[in-house]
Amino acid sequence: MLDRLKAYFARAFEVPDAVSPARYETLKRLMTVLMVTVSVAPLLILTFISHSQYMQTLEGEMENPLESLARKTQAALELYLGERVSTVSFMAHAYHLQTLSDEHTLNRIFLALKSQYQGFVDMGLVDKTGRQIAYVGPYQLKGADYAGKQWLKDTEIRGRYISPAFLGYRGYPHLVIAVHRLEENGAEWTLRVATDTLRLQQIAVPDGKSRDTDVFLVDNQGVLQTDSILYGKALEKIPFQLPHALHDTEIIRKEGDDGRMYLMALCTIEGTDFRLVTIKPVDTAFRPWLALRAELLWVIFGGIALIVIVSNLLMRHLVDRLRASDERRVAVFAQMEHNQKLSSIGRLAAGVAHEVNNPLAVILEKAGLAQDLLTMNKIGGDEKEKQTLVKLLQGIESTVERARGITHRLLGFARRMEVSRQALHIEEVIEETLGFLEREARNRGVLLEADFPEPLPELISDRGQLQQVFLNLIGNALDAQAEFRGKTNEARFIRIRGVTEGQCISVTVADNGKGMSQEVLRHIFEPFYSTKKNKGTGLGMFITYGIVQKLGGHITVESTEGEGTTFTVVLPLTPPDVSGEA
Amino acid sequence: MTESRCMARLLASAVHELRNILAVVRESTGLGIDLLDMERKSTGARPSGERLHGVLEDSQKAVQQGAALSDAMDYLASASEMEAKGPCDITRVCHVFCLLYAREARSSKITLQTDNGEDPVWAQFSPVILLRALLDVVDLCTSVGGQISLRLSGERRDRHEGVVIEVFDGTNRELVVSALASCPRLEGLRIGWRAKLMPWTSREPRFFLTISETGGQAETN
Amino acid sequence: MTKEDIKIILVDDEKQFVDTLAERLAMRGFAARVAYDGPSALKEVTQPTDVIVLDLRMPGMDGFEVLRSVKKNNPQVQVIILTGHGGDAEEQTAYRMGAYNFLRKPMDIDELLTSIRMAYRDKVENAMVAVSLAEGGDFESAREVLKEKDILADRDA
Repeated sequence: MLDRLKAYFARAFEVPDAVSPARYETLKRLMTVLMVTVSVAPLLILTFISHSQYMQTLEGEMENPLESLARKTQAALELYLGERVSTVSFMAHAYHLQTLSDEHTLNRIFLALKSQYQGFVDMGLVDKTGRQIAYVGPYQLKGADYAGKQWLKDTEIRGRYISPAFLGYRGYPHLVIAVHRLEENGAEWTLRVATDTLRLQQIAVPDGKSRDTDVFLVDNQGVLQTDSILYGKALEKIPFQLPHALHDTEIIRKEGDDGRMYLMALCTIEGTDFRLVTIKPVDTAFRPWLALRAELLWVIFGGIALIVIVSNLLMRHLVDRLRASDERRVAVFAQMEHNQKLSSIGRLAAGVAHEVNNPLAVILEKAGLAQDLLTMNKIGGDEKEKQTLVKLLQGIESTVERARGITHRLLGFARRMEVSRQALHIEEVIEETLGFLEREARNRGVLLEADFPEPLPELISDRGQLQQVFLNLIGNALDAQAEFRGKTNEARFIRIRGVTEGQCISVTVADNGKGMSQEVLRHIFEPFYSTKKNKGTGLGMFITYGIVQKLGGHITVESTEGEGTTFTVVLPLTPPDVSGEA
Repeated sequence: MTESRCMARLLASAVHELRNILAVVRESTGLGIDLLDMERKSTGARPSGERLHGVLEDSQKAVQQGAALSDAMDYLASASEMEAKGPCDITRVCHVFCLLYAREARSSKITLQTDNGEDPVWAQFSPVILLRALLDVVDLCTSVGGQISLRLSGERRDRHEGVVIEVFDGTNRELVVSALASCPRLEGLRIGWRAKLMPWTSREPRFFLTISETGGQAETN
Repeated sequence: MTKEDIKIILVDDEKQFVDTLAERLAMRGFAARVAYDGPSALKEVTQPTDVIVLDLRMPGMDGFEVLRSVKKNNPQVQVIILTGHGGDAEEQTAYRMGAYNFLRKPMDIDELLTSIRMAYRDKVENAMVAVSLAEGGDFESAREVLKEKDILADRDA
């Protein structure tokens, strides 16, 4: 799988070397993708970071007020309830059983209580058997039997107790505060006071129902103790399960039935089984943020789109210019190569012309001499004199042969210049090239040697271009030898050697001429670099390098100053597919 | 046709001609030897001086031609090294062209001549460009059947330098003249240069070949 | 045929050419010695010589070297270059180095002879001018003339 991906990417993004439409398409693609990635990636990363940071902050922002509201309400409720309980507890401890059993006293105490505290509805005294022995209030509860009732048990265990709400006087939710008293004389009784939840309601929701935050109390059965905006009035059950109570205020995110998200703060009211629930819908707080986020998203996507478009345009422009420049370079190289080709034809033309002049001169002189002999009547019937003439004429004939040989070589070259790809034997090409330079080498006293230890396989290549390469290399070697006057005792040579190397042929051109310094070696294949003063364009080696590359091969050089130079040309037996010559 | 192909063709034609020349020398010389042999066989008489003279003169003339050809090839060599802007002596180029291409032209039954004027006509372009244009013109004549004689001479007219091409003989004159008169577009030269062939005047079978620089891009063919 | 007393050396590595030419010159009354390479030419030139006909492309020591040596050591000898390789550059170099004439092969023998005769006359004339100057006591000018015609080498150069 990974390999396939890698292969796909390699294909999609591999830039071909040759100047072709594919190269520039791929280059454009590659660079656009790179640029877009480099521009957009940090942007996106930044966006994500900012987004999550902002969300965190926002949630914090939302949670904090909720939490403080919950705590404040919790404190107020605890204070209120604690106070109520304390009041009842005070009364339970201030008075004895006998005192309170008296209904007149109970009534008086109750009225006094009612005058100071709002909300108390009734009061009752329950003995240890569970029977309400005294009662004051609007109901007929005297003598009610609460034996075995849970609230009584809880009160007896805990000492003080607040009951969950129940439907009470006038249909309003009430709750009961009960305090258990164990006197020194062993009397055990419970004082029970009912109070409405109005004040509770008011504490829980001070401003009425005009807020977006729903604050209410529930008991441990999930029954509302106060009114809730979302879940109904008191004594109705909330539709969901509350998690286990924790000591600290807990904030939970919850999805409501309507699909909205809510933030819920839960706290316990100390001394009771109540939980204070503060719910706020999340989206109202988030609404401005969401609006902003939508805008920001537009901006970001707009920005990304802009980056993509601009990158695309920019890369297209740049790559087009690159392409123009590459094409220009190719054209210039082609022009230079062409010029060099012209030059080499010119050189050959000159070579042949000069070479042919000598035999022509010989023919002319001999014919002239024969003419002279005839005119000056030096030829009589003498056999010997006639033989002289015959010898002269034969001399002319052999000179003609020689001249023909010179022309033969050049004809072959000119004829083969046309074909650009053919199977050939590189030995032939090299021998031919050596033939052209033979005379010059002889004149300069340089030995030209070609060595092919084993027969070489056929090579498919361009004959004309190969000839040009070797003409250049051997010609340069000749020039190097000519300028070198050291080691006169050693014969100066240029040795060409060809061997097979795997799927390639390797040809070395070695001389023992003046060699090249490291400095020269570094620049030898550069254009316009020449060590010949006032001679040549400096393009010879540059073009040779280019031709070898085009033929699918490679050229390297080694040299020691004062000792000699060796060029190595490696050519594949079958060249890569290249477009035909113009 | 690229310039190097043009050069190669000219060179090939020149070398062919050279071989012909050498063949002539060989034949003449062979004949001379035969003559001497024959005479030897017929009892020590004097060699017929005149025939021998003739033979030798033929050889010498051939060698002179060969030397001229060799000179032309040398000129070709120096032309190949020249810059695009020349300069070039149009008269000399015509001479050289006729010498070099005579052999190939003969095979299409086209005779090439130059007039005998020696005055140089200088122009600001490379001889190679002109050679190529001339080759194009001769190719055109060949393509409509050849069989004509062309005379080339360098001229200056209206401050333009060029070659006057006269179709002065041959069985195919009409066709060649009309082919040349159709103001053919000569194949795209080196980038930046253009060759134009136009009738010299409306009546004569004469044409004027000029080379000029274009602004920048070559004309599309 | 009267012999013309111009002492000529022919230098060329092309034996057939140089031998034939020598024979033809001999038939025209010119005694020409031959040398097939640079060193032999320089040896020959130590003998009294008026004109050297010199090829440029020779194995070993080439024509220019011979020319330089002759102009240095035997400045009274006129040098005519006769070569199959005749580029403009080579022609200019030859003249600069003091050659009298630059001819290209194949050449007409009469052309060569004319050139040899003119070279000889030029040399003789200059010598005569120098002599008359010297006779007039003007050794300075005499020397100048000889130097100018490369007949007297500038020993300090």
